[in-house]
Amino acid sequence: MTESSFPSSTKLSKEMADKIYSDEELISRFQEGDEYSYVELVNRYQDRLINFTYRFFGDREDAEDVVQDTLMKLYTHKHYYRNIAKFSTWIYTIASNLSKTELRKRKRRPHKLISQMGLEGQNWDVPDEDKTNEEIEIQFNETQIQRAMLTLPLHFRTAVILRDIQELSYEEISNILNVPLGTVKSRINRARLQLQEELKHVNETRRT
Amino acid sequence: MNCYKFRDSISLYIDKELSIKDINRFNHHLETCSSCRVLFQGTLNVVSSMKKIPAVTVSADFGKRLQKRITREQAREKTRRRRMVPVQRLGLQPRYAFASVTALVAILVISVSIFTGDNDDVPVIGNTPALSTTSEVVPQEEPESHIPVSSLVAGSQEDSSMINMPPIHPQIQSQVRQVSGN
Repeated sequence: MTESSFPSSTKLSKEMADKIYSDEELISRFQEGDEYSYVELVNRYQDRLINFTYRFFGDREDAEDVVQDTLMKLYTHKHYYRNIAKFSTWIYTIASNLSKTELRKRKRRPHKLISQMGLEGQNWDVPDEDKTNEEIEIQFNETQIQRAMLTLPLHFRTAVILRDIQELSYEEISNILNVPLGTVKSRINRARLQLQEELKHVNETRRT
Repeated sequence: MNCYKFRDSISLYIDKELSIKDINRFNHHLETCSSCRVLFQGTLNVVSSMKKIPAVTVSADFGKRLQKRITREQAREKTRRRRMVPVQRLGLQPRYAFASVTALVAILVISVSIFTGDNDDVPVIGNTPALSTTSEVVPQEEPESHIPVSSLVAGSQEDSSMINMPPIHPQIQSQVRQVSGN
């Protein structure tokens, strides 16, 4: 198939535009060879996944690479999906596993310090003149949370991102991480308490 | 509810995952314990701050890059399929290739060893008379049976010991006698 024959995101089939398919229906259609369904799934999930991986890495480039890999896996391994779990659970599991693998690779050959991640050139000490106070506060807030998030152990970080950023249910998180519900509850609570400690420390430093 | 249990239940309370009974206990502790109240308020702030974080979106060229990767993958898949076609035309599947080659080699080795080798050293498979070196087929003598047929029916103690079998249970012996009519 040539590049031009791959359906572009703006050129969806008429049928697709007329009817709103569920994720599970779309993957089923894609498994039968309908590439428009793949495009629709990409459109639905690319931003959700980047929000997950970006909070995971704190680096846009790395986050996008993992989302690309996830969507490629969806393309090449579409038949691995069985209609026994929600599609979102399956795709988040892939993204989560790829993120962990990427972080493990980084540990072996570190090219960036953890403390340097999540900054993305956002220097909150020198606010942008065009921004309102509220926007500056939001940006400061985001940077601090991102920094605090990166101090969390990996299993706490994943759980809290899935809950508080992705707003997934405890049960869905339990399926994605393949751990019991009780473990998910405990991880989310401990992650939030640890984040609170980190942010408290940052706020105290800011006041002094 | 004590402070320890309260601390463990904060997120469940915020996410509405507690039972009504536990919510009442939680609320009671919240009213009475000031340090737990501070902890609860802090966690609530963390959760609300996280929800306020602006959403990130993919960069403008994200779709184009993905499309390029897919096109590359499709080309790779096409090449792989083209390579497989001549083999498939022969009715062969790559996964059976190793097994087929191994079987073929084994057949060749056995054939060569049978037809060209010195058969004195090579054991003949199945001791087939047709493949034996002597032209005359010597009929093998039937080995003498040391086991008297009678011992299989109602053997005495002496007979049983000859074939190293345990003595037959007296009840079974009587049943066998009834069947055999002895």
